Amino acid sequence: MKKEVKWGMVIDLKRCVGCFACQVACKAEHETPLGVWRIWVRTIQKGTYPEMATLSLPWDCAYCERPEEARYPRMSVLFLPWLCNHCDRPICNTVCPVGAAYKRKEDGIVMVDPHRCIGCNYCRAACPYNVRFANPITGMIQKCDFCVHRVDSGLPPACVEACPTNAMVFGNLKDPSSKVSQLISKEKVQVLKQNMATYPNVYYIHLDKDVADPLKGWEKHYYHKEYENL
Amino acid sequence: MEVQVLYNVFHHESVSLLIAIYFHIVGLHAGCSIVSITATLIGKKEYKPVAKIGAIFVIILFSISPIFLLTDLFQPLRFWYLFLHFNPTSPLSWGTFILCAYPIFTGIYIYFLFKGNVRWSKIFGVISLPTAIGVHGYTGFVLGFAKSRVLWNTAVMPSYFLCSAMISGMAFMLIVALVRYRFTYQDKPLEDREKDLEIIDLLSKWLAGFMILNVFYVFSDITVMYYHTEDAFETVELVRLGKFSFLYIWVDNVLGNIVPALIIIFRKTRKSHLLLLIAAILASIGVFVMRYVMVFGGQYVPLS
Repeated sequence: MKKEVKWGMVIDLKRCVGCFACQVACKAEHETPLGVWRIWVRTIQKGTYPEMATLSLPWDCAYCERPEEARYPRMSVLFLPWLCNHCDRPICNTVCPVGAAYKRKEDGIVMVDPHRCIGCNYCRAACPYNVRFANPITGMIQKCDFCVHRVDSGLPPACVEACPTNAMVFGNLKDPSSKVSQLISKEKVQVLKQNMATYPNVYYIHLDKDVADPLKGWEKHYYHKEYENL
Repeated sequence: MEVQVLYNVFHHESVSLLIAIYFHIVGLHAGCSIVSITATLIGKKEYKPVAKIGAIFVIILFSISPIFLLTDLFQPLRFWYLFLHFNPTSPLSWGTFILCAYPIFTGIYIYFLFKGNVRWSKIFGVISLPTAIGVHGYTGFVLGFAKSRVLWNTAVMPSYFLCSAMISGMAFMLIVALVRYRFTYQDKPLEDREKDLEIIDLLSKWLAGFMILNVFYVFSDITVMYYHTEDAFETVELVRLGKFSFLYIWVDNVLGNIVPALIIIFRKTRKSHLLLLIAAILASIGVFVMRYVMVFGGQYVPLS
């Protein structure tokens, strides 16, 4: 009998040190152009530092002057690797007018057919995770595909292989002896935006509500404007 | 406790200004054709000029509207894939076929209308009325099915879009009727003048009715969002009443709906053609601002 396969990922945020190796490895693997990312590490700091609201850029480090006011018990930095969730009910597939976005039947990876995509951007508008982007060079819609070329030849995705602390675990969710299944059954896992009814296949251990909420602190976040001016 | 985002990625907007303009133009010609067909179906002789004014603008506006859709595609030469691969769950697929059926049926209707063949123009009017409603109704579903954005993903969206389409179409026809009256009334006998005035009066009354309906939709949309999830609450605070509040509340709803509706409702102001013209122009601007706020306000709040 053929073994049933459904690829999934567990990210242990207790182990994540925020080295951004997954982001760089993905960029190198897929040669993603400037300004767009298939995976990124969302980083926030939370705490009671009085001048935090005036910080505009990460390197304008106001607490360098008075370090005693902003130390561990008062504030913390949280990381969240953010990638395509390869949902069981992907809204991007539902709304694609030509069926270019599809879910592979044999292993459940959500992919984009580059020969069929017309670039109408509707999948990008509908995706609740904002993981899809238009490649500025080819004009094609792209996103994380769990490094399908590597997975098909038996290798883990590039981000998983690059992770120095083994925080990212990739495996078969239908195999009870795989490490992902064991982690999901043992640990307290959480998914992103459960209310969207997309049934994601990327699970997070030790997920904090503030780092998972896109609305927290985004008005004060000037980084993207500075980034556009570069 | 303060939360500060140190690093995050924002991918650029997915729905561009071209689509906002497309929504506006589709709304204009769908509104024009719905008014035109309704006037034909009612069948009174006085409404005939209304039907003809509407029909001419349907042809002009429809012929420019697909340009915006095609230029918005990142792969414009692949547009014909839409006909090959039909996806029943995608409103864009529905729209492709409605956009193809609509000009055919409406074209035959307009042909019989100008030929003066009442019976066949009524028959094709009945056939093309659902496609005229669908050609703008599907854009409401396009935004309504994008479940990531709380501003779009509401059940009121398709009817709200249809209602604003009727406003923009009627305001446009009212402007044309007023200009036509201004330049032709001197050569006409008194009876024809009165007929023209009656049409202007009728159009403006219906316009006011749809404006009141539109304000009701906006009211129910905003208030229901206040009693909804966290996302919706924050969005309505930030977008509707925050950054876009000047455009949305003041320009769209107060100047674009309430002020013109008041001008039309009071009899003294309705008699003044200058005020009616101002009301119709304000309504047109208001509807365009509404499309703009819908498209860009919906995408203003980040998802990641």
